[in-house]
Amino acid sequence: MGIYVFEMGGLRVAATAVSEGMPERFGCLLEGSVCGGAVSDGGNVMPDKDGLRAVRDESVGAPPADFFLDIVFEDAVEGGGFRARATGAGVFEFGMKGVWCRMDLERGRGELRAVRDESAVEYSMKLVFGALLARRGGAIMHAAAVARDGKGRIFCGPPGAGKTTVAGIASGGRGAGAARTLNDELAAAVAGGENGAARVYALLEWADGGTMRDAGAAGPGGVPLAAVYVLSHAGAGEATTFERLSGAEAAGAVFSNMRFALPAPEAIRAAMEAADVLRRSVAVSRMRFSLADAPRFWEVIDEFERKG
Amino acid sequence: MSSSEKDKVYARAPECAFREIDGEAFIVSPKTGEAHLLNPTGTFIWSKLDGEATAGRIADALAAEFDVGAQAALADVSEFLDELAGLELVAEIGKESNEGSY
Repeated sequence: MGIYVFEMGGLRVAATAVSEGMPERFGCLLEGSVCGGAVSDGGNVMPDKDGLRAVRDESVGAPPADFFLDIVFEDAVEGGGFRARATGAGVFEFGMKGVWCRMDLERGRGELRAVRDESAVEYSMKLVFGALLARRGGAIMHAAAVARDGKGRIFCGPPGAGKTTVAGIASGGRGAGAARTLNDELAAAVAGGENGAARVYALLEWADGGTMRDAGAAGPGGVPLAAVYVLSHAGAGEATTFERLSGAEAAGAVFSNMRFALPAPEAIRAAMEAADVLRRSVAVSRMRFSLADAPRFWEVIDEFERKG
Repeated sequence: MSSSEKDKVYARAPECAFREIDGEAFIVSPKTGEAHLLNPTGTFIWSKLDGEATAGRIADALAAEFDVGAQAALADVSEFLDELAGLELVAEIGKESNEGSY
């Protein structure tokens, strides 16, 4: 029992566990309380192992959460394959083995029934955040994120495209300066509002041995997102090349690298719209990277970005 | 191109999501979640898929809109729709009868 707060991509979900069973590593905001519709900022940040940040604070009453979720833990939740559907405007249901969730995005409230299992809660929360982010021109992306000089870059692509390699080079090569890898697998990107830049948020990751890997580099507020690069490998003997994408190609590239979008047509359309909004907020380019350019990684990037 | 090709009628797959941006589009099948980019010609053809227009009529419209001959337009339309059908993004739903009805 208690109130738990999850943060991702600049959004906050206040979850009320109405029965016992929340995994211990999700920090409890208030033991034994009923969610009153408001939570406070600050307090101890308790990062979880794979992307969700639970904030622990003993005081309540300041800014409201973006979404309120009741969580009911049960011994068993009707299983089945992953499925999702819209049951009304902005209302989605999804279910999978050990999980059933209903989200009313218009009202900002939902209910999650889950078995007492960390991964069930974590995966469900990412789906909730995925749906919430989409309404703000944002997404959880399969991408490496790197911050340098106060600006973030996202390097996305399918497995094998070189995300981890590029993240390592970007934060360790010549000219890297204070560049830091925020995450080499998942990042939340959100389009800027009026006159605002898009931002990238690190999804935290628990490294081997239980130590945080560059976890807080972006901080809860994220960093401005300077560019999105869709990675692939340069041909043998070829130098690194770039190609600025625009329109549908850019939006399609962003969409293709989104994760945790519900497989319901309405949710897919919302994700497509989010991809369109995001690509209008930040430059999206294809980057065919040559390892031969590793020593001058940032020179190559800077040169391309200078040319615009 | 055979007359039967001209008379085929295609419809977009139900629940296939589509977004047009600056004359190009990307479409996503909920079945696979994959995004497919359409060039301006493909976007034009897609926009004409109303479940009633034959491939021949779409080809005529394509020829009128773009600088392309009727035969080439029909070949393009047929090839494009075959490709989309292979991806289950459209389905052939029948043929327009040339025999009239009573």
